[in-house]
Amino acid sequence: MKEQLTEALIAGNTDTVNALTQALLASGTSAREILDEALLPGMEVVGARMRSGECFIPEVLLSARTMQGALEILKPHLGAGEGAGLGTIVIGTVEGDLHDIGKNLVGMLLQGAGFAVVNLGTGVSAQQFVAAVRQHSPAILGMSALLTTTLPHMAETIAALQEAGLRDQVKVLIGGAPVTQAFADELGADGYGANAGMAVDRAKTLVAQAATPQAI
Amino acid sequence: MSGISGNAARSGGYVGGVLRPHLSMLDAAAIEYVHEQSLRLLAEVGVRVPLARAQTLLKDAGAVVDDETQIVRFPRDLIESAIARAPKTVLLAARDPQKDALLDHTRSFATHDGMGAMCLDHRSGERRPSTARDLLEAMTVADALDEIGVLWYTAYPCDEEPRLQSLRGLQSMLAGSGKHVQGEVTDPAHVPYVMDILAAANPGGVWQAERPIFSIVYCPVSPLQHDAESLEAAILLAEQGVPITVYSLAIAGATAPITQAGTTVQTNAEELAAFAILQLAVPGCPLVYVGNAGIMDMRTSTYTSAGPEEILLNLALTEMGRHYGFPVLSCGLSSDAKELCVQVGSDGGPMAFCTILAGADLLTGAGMLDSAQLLYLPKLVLDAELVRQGQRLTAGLALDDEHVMLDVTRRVGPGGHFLAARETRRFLRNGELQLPHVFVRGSYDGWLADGRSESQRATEKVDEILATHHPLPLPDGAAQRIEEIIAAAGEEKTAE
Ligand code: B12
Repeated sequence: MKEQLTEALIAGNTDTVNALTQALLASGTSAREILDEALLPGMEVVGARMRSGECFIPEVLLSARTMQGALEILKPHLGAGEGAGLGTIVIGTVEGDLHDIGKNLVGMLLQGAGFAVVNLGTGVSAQQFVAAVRQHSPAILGMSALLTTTLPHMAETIAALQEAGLRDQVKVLIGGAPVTQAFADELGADGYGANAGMAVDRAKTLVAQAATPQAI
Repeated sequence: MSGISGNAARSGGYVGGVLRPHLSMLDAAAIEYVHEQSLRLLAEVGVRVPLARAQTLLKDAGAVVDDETQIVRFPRDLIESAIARAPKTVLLAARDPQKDALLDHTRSFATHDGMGAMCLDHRSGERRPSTARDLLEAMTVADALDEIGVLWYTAYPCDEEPRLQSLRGLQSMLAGSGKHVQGEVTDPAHVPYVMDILAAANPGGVWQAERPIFSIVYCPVSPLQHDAESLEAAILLAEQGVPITVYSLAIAGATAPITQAGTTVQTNAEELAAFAILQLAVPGCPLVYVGNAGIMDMRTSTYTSAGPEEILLNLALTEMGRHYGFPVLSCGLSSDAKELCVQVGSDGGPMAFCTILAGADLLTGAGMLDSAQLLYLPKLVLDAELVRQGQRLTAGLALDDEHVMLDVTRRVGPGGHFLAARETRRFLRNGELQLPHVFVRGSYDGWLADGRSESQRATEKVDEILATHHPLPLPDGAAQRIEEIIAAAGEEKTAE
């Protein structure tokens, strides 16, 4: 049944995924096992197919949304500290910038990969980012900027996090057309994603690193 | 207008004249259908306008404004009166009056692509963030190319203080060319500085609303929204007589329906809504309709600016804009390719020709690779060559007894040749055959002896222009004055 669930998730077949998730729970399979052995591997395949150009973004999003539905079903059965998946990510487009498709896409795929995503929208000021980090204690803060003129707000936000004493508690992941790895390094961000696939990969690496800090 | 149009009356047979090709895809019924669907969209779904000042104007004009969602539903007559009120010809004046671009539907003026933030350095071959110098050079090269009629803020000066990049960009554009320049102003606080800079650059030191040397590209935010700050800035500039190109850059599949039909209707609706808002705010203000939209590449989720569907979108939208009588900007020359290669020409050429043949007044797209993100000056030279070809197409086919040359053929007779005929020399000198500037014709050996590749020839042309071309200088003292204005803007910014 787990294999069928994985297949259904890859196909984005919401009804089947929901039914199989419930059936597995009913047959005594633990929520953790369903997540780790059926759902997350399914999203891995979808991610790989996206990177190789085998499937289209709207299809990936369908799988991601389907994954969300399954997570809702699993949530009550996961341990309290266990969370639905990989942790929380707060994401937003910086002040003065209203480009939002890329950021939304990244948010949806992160959700599909197992993160809980808080999307702050566009034109988010440094103080608003700080407040959201305080409120949601996310593992990762994601910032998007599409304009060279709004890039400085990323640095401001990082400085504001530092000032608020929150910088050590959250990883900062950035992206958007003018952002480069060099810029991310210069800024002291923890990661950069050139596209949604890379964003998910980097986010996963960042939480894995946070879980085993001595490994790096 | 020279010659007789191809549709001239041919009473009692063919009268002769110049036949100009024209590309049309929508018939009258289709135009009506797109118009009606656009009006339905505006009346039923509406547009978010988060600017109090605009909401008040719209309410007073009969629109239904939802105070909570800030969504405005437009009644038909509001849109139709805006269509009637918007000027049908627009002057994009130049510092050098001989370079004025009067958008009156008689020809297409090419412009840069934009507005990116990267440059493929033609000297080092390196891809890097664009600089003020790149922008200045892009202006100077385009200033020297007759085929480029209007200049765009093609690349940001990323080496300048971010908050002042728009003003620094304007400075480079004005210094680099005597032609009309089109830029962006999204911050209302910048408007007074922009107007001061424009006044300083104008002959006589004052801004002349009837001869606007600068216009802006204003972007509604697809789907069906406006940004308060940018809209405020646009209205403030419109009040000063600055023309506005309304560029609703929907991305089919992401911020608009994936179908060309859906994106056409949505884009048309977004353009019309913006026209309605701006015409209410500043009645009679000069606006340019944009007949173009983007497409999302669904494998990589990137923005795509070329390909056959792009051409279909351009054709449909250009035809809508022309139907309303507006000046229209559409796209051609743009390419998703990352290097100079076959794709550059096949993305850009057909699209440019279709746009020109559809009768767009402005043709954007020159000088960039990577979907309008990567400035590459040699491409500007190559694009100018494509524009010349497009101009030759619209110059059309002269068809009359003189051009059929039957007399000459009779004289030459079977087995003779036309090389010695006086008429051959005359028509040759009159431009019957266009000669390429950079593209290659002729023998293989000749090409081999020349020894240069296409990109080398284009690059040399760039270097030659940069070494020898001198754009119309700014009025005395203007450069100094502009520096002071930007310094003042910088101080105010830091004081904030
Ligand atoms: C569509 C678009 C718009 C639309 C935006 C509509 C909307 N709802 O978002 C409109 C028309 C409104 C617009 C407006 C403007 N735009 Co614009 N716009 C674009 C365009 C063509 C595509 C952006 C896009 O949606 N791409 C598709 C998405 C899926 O990709 P993406 O955003 O890059 O996101 C991906 C990655 O970057 C990454 N990513 C993004 N965010 C994040 C975040 C994290 C945490 C991570 C890890 C990864 C990540 O993953 C995403 C998915 O793969 C780009 C050009 C380009 N090719 O990028 C210009 C572009 C960004 N715009 C530009 C400009 C200049 C403007 C304007 C100033 C124009 C004007 N005259 O007003 C205004 C600015 C308004 C403002 N205050 O923000 C320039 C910026 C130049 C610069 N200085 O940096 C660009 C580069 C244009 C160009 N020449 O190519 N624009």
